[in-house]
Amino acid sequence: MTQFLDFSLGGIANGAVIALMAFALVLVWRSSRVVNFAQVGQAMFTTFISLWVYESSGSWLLALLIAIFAGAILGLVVHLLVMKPVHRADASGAIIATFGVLIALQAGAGMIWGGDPKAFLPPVANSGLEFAGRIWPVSWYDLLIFAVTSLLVIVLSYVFIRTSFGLAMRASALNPEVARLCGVRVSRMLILGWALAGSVGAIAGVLIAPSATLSPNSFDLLLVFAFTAAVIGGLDSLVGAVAFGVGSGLALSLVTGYSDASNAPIVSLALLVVILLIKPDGFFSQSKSRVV
Amino acid sequence: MLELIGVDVTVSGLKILDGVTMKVPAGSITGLIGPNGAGKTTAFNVVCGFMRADTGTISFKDQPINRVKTHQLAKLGISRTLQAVGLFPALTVLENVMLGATSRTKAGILSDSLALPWVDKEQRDIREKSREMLRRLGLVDVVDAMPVELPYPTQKKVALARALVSEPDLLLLDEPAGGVGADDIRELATVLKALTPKVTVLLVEHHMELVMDVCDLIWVLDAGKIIASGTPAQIRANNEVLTAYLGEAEVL
Repeated sequence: MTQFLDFSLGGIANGAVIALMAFALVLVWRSSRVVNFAQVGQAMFTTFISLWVYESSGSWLLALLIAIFAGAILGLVVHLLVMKPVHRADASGAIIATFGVLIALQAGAGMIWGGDPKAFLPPVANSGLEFAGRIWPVSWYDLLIFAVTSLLVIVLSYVFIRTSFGLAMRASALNPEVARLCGVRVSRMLILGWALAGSVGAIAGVLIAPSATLSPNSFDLLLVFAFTAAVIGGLDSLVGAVAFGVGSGLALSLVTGYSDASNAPIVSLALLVVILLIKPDGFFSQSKSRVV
Repeated sequence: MLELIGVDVTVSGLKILDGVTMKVPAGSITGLIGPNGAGKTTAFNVVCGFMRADTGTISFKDQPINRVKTHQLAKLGISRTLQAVGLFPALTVLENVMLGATSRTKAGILSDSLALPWVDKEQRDIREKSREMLRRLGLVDVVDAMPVELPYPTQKKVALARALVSEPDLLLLDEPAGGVGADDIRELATVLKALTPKVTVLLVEHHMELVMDVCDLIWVLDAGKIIASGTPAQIRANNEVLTAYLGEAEVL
């Protein structure tokens, strides 16, 4: 039982990062109806930039802020230079184009920073906390991850649900033409959606980097997990992305704990297939009402 | 209020509008009628920027709006309903209407995210204004419903509320009576008459009884050309119009 609790607790921080990345995927999906497989590539790229800032300035907070900013810019660039022209020509080609962007970003990062894994040191201790006479599988850094993620999810949820901007954003995704009639600048909403997703992904990148090492391919698995969480959550739903992101973090931690880390991606993909067979729309999707 | 002069629209070699010239006087309810495929909806699409005119001028309050983008119309004071209703399925009735009201607000993403006090107030105002519009149209019970849960005529009323809440000077209505029962049509006529002269209405409609009842001026479009215009009485007596509507003549 203690073991189960330990594995579960250990998975929460990881789950929070998966949730953030899934959140970014959902943001792009909602604004453009594209699954952006380049999202982790963008996050990897901005994390490298962030690491450079961190090493030269010594300030983790500054590094995080730069990552957020760089993430927005990169999201914007990918949207304007690649996705917008491709999407205009062929909507299904857009998804394939995101793979192209991913490969280009990984190759670019390899050329700039080299392929060797680099260490991204956590700003606070990343070893298990001692409490009530034992060491727990939760560190100060895990708590920091959890705090940053929670804050971000709360703020973004508020913006989406309670503000005119959020309403305009949701409407643009649902029916661009009618949204325009209501005075919404849909093209601006698309840009903001990509920029916002870029920033959220960048935060996820900076947060997860200390848990492993940073290399051009180090976020590939994160893509698998985040994609699974986003799809199971319904792709449309920010709540779904967060719930299943954290959920898959827990599940993966249990799989890793009881068997082996290499089984985690297989379990994740198997879960995806099974759930899509049972519930093709995901759990929180609103697309049912759209079909009617 | 609205004027089209010599407007041509060609879609893949087919002339949909052919030198269309028509006026919608300020404060009037003006009807645009014609057989199916005459180009009525295309005329609407050209006005709201969904399609571009090949030649000709479209002006609103004496300003050309040929190049105006769709999202700018609401701010200019033009609002439109769609034949297919076009409510956002995943938004509540209130949210749908609120979206119509936001076109005149100034809040941006940054101020929204920071939940600045004046944004909060603006949000409350929009909410209240939208509720009030729903109340006026007798929709107070469905404020929190999702569009799909509502009967079709009610959905159409919600779409009308959304178009009206932006306080337009010109309201373009695309077949508001389509698929709607007699009682609702009578109610619609009352609502439309009450709107003028503050709001100018351009009405595309097949339901002749409604058109003849509410319109001050009617334009008749057939195969992309304006073939007649005049008061309801004049249109009823026009032989060319009767020919265009051959087989439907009895409804006139």
